[in-house]
Amino acid sequence: MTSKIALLMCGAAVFAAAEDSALIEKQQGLLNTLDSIDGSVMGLRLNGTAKGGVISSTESSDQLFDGSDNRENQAYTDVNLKVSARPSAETEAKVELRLHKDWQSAYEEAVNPIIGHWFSYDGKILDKHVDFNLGYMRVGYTPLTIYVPQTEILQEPEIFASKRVDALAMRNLDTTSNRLLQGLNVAFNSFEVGPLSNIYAQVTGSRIRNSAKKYDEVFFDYDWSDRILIAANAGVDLMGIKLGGNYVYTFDRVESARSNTAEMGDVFYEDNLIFSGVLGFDSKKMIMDGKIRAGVDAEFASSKWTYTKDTYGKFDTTHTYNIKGQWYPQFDENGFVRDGVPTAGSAGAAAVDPIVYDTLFYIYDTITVSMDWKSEELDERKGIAFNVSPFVAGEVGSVKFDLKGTYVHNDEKFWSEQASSNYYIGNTTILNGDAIISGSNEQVVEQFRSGSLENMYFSVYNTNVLQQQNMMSKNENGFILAEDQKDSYYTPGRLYNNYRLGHFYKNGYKAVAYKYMELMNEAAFIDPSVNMAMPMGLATPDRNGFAVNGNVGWNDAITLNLRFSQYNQDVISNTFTTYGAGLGVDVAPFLGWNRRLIVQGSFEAGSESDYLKRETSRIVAGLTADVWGPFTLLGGFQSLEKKFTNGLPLADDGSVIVNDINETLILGGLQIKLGPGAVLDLQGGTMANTVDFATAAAGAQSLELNKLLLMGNITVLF
Amino acid sequence: MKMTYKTLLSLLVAAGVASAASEVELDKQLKAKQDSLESKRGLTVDGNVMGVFVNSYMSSDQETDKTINRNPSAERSNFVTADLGLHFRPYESVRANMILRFEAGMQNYFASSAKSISVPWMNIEGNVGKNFYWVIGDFRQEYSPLTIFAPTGIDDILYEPLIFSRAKEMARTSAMLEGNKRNLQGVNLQFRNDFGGPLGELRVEGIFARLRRVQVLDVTGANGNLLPYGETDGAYMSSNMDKWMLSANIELLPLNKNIYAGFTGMYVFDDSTSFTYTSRSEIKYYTGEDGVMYDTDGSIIKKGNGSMSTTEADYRTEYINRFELDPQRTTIISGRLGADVAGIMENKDLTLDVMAEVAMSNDKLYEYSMISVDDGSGQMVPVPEPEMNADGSFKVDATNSPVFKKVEKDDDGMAILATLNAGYRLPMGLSVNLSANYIMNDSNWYNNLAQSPQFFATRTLNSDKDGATVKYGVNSPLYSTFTSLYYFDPKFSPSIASNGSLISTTDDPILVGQTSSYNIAPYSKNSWGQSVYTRKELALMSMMLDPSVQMSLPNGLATANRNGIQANLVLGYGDFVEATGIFSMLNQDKSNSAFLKEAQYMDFGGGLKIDVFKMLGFSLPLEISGSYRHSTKTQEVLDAYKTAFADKGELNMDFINAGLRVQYLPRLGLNAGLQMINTEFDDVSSSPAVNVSPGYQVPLLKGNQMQWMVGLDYTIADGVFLALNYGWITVENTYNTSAGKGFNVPDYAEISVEDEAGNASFVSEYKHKFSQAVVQAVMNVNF
Repeated sequence: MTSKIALLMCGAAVFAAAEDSALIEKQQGLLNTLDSIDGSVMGLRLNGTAKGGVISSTESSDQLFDGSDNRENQAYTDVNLKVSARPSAETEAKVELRLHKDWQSAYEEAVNPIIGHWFSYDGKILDKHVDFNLGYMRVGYTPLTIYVPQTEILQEPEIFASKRVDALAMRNLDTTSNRLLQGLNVAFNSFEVGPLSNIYAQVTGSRIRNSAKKYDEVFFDYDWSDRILIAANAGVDLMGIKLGGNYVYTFDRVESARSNTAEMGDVFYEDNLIFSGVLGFDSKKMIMDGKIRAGVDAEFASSKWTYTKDTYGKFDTTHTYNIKGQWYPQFDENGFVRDGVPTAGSAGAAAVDPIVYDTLFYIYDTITVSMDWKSEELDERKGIAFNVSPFVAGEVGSVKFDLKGTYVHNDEKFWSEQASSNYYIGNTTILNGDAIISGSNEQVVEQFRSGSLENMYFSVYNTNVLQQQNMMSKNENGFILAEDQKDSYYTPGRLYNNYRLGHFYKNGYKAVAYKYMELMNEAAFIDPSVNMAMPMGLATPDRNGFAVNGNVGWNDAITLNLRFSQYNQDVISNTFTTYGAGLGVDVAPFLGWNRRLIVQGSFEAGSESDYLKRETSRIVAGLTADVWGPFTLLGGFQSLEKKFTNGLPLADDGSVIVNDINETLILGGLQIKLGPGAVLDLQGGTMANTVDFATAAAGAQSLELNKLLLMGNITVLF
Repeated sequence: MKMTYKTLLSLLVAAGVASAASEVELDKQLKAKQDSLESKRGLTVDGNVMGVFVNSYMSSDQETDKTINRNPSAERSNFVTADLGLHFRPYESVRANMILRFEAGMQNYFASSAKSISVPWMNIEGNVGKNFYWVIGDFRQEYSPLTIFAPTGIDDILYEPLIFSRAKEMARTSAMLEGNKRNLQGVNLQFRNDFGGPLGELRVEGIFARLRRVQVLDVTGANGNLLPYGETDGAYMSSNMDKWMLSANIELLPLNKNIYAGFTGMYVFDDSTSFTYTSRSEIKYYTGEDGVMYDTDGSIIKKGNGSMSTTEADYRTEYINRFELDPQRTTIISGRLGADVAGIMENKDLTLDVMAEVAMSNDKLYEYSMISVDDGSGQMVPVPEPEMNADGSFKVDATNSPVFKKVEKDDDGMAILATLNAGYRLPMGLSVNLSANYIMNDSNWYNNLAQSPQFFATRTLNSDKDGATVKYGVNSPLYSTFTSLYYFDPKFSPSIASNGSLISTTDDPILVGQTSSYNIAPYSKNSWGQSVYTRKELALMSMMLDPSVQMSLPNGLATANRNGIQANLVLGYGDFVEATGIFSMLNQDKSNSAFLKEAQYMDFGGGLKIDVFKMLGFSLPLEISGSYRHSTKTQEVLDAYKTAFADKGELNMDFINAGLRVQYLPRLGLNAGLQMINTEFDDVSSSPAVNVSPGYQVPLLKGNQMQWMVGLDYTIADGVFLALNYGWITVENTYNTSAGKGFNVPDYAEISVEDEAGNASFVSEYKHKFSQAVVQAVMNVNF
């Protein structure tokens, strides 16, 4: 035994290791094959996922109102019903419906609606040369154009990873870097043409925001104007060399705002245009018959961002010129007014003076001030971004490895909207949202009552009666529920609905791509625990630096991950340094077991030299053990610290400063396979969130919130 | 084919250690795909389509002045409901079931919500081996009448004509009710093993269900409140806390299942840690265009001359339901022993079985501790004792009100039910069957999972005409037992109350037209429901019973505070003649009135059913049935009050049923039914002071109700039929109006008279007669 472990340790030093992305590719390929076998069945098909269970979260804290614990129980049955119709082998229409019931029988749920959350028509036509998607689709171009920067947690245990995937799925999102869009996407691939291995071209059009049509409606994606994305790319592949160009233009449709919001005054538009060129080389089968692959990917992009104010006001003056006549008396040669023949007045009245008049014509000017729209460009940012990533990956014997370096040079003024927003946003209240936290600073509570780990791994989906607390409003400040917040007297009238139910999310993930101004306004609050150095991925503006990523694996039993990066933010002379390492060991093969016994862990840290002088660190540990028959033990531990050495000011006047945040999540559980595609999960754990802050009035304080979590659910795939 | 997948998949054994979430996800998807491809997939689709067209025209000779009540007197409930059941079986041992309900209304004002798709039923079920079954989500369960049971809440309607019973079944089906099973949502685990022979069968079952969830509901809504805007205990069904139920049930059926021994333990509790507050808009007043001042709930405050003002209201923290603040903690245990004597004797002509159930309940009740203080005059008076914080300050709740010291008290109750079934099949086709129940339930006995009735008297047909009194149900002036039992509308759109203007470009009519009985929005109008009620709700419901059908056992065999027997005797001849006699005598264990002694209930009656065609040897039926039942409730007045009242109060009720069913062609048949209910009250039993009930203000002396209905049935196949019916309901209520009017008398009642000297007074008796003509067409297709 001892010798085995010793061997294992010494082996680890020389292994090269499993290459995640290669495995993913393999899996994806297999899944596609299976999908196509399964999908070649024509006609109407129904399948989906059914899930039922309980999530109970008990929050305890001295700062809770009246000191007692607060528990929030979600007990539900939920079905995601996938309906797909395949009129021919080439095309398929897909609709996904969500049926959700929260357990209770207090009253008849007369109106418990079914929500349709995915509608698409996809196909591979013209001998598979043309792929198209209509409706909901996931589209990715390149890291500087259309892309979703990913959240990477090294050696994330399965118990956490599956929760993150579930939370994303509730928002129709996944862990690929393709962006969720709605519109039309058409891609052409020539495949082998002469010496070229492929000629490709793609066109994408999508409406990414919609202007609100009604006030006080439950309306989930709204904006002041429609926002449209049009994009295209084209390129060629030749003997492993890839050359291509991308074009992405995102803009607010001015007419949509002007036709809707005339009463509002100022509307702001953001237009973003990106051109990028990609050049890459992949050795493919050239070296050692493909056992080692090496190459480089490079992208150069140029962006333009304009910020325009559209004002409805008195800008237009219209001059109207008219000819007008004026009468004046005629004078005789003596300068006397020339009299005419007097006419007799009526009885008793004086005779009318018969002055003789002459006519004079002149031109006069009338000014009309009319209301109109006027656009004014407030700001324009133009910038370039460049990155180059050489890589080498391979498999030598039982050792797999990959190594990738990335050099990035992004201008301060570079901005690519569709490549900059991670789906993980955070800062949302997920669990125990109804707990009244009274013993702490309101701003701290509002911002940090649910920590990063809660946002990343938990989500709540429920049906609730539409009422004041949860009706969304097109009110300017977005929410209508605060003490002393005023409310229109019509609102109660609209809420008299005899309990019509709506579907509600509490979820830290969002599909929305933030606009530049939106993101800049929240920049200080972007969760630094994830990608602090490059929060917007490779498209993060104002970064110069490099990153090195390496993974080594041996026999799929041991994996080692190493990460290092250093980036400068030139404008404020800020330097980010991040490093991380992870190790995962499947002990079972060493013990001769034909099942999983995975122990894994990682440590990552990041810091910045200036600005808020943030320092973050994350420790992860996990266990996945197939103990016996259908039983699997799952465990996970994660602890992170977010330190703001210079303090994170919450109020403009600096009266509330956050200094340090510590979070810990421990989860353990038993997974029982009830049958193929049917799993029972029983899990429990604790989550702690401590925020150290200081206020001008009360000095140093801390907000401490602890949660006890109990979960049990059954999932069935059908 | 299967081999291909396996080979493909074997390339990717336990991809494992890698960290990327996408990989885990893909791995999962792969496995799921493999499973799904390998498993025996199956999908069954079934369902029911029901088209209902009910027009009801209400009229009353007493409504001479049509300007007093301008609400519509015609109701057109026309709807189509389709239940589509999808049953997926991805693998042999697992099933996912769901029922999608598609609803379309005809002529509905709120078009979008009338055409809705909802999910009345959703669960996942499966089995492990042959003995273990599990279900999560919606399920129905019935253990025994004193444990988990859903009593209909109405007394037996003897030989109820088919034309009516079918309508009742439709209303019940719409509420997803099935027999006496209780609808629950949660987890149900069942283990069964048949050892065979003398050891018999062993059943071990457990349930974990949520009965209520924390949910904010509007106190003025038509659904979710027993008494909208009632401001009294039990009026609102919204919950501050999650209410859960845990149960364990063990049953053993030895001797070839001829002996039965059962034990059930249950714990029903509110999770007080889940206590949640809400924010509500403060009640602010505003003045409408008509110069009338309204509350924000739409009720009129006072007439004024102010112009439209748009007062804004602040939000503030409030209780979700301020009448249900104390957590329920109820423990119930029950033991049952029974034997099928006839089964042991292996006599097929004999029916002889006995069953005895003893159940005990322990409920925690809360009282507030009192201290005595000098009221200033040297008199010591009790006041609730406030709770103190550690620093000596008074503890306050979310609304800044003081918190008082609570004292927890045990409330122990017991219930006994013994049942005997004895019968014998004589030669010549004669049979005789006797069923008897002995009931001994004390007044503290409490189990809301066995006592919550399926029926709660609700106004249905022509409810628009009631206006704001509709919420008083049985005490609403236009209430009739028949409309409440037999009619429903799953998505009724009420008309705007007559104080609102009908057409406007603002929300004013919606706001101003609100009543305090329902909201101007579609709601489900049905007396039948599946709720588990709280103690306070059950208490309120007991004040709003319809004596015609809810006299002696309104909460079924688990009704608290009843002692006595119940028996029925059925005599049969062949399969075409059946006669039934019923008798019951039940007494209250403890009086529930401050003025009266324990009530005594007596019930007797009989009925007969003859299938004439069958008797003559025809294959099609011609069935004539009829029944009579007499019920009384007698309650002696406490000696101290005998000087003020009569010695006792008595309520007498007669219920007559007559039915005809004839099928003269293979598919075409004729149905007819007649029902009459006469109820009579004396001075005590009609007194609102003694019989406190929401909305009951004017003593009702006599109620005569009658309905008849005839119709044609066209049966296309089993479960596929079309029925065209016409019927007439008449109700004549006599009130003692010497003290004036009230909610239970129609607003158009003219009860004032003047004598010769010009002195105004009220007539001592007022008779209100109204009728409803009902045109009904029902199409039902089961598939």
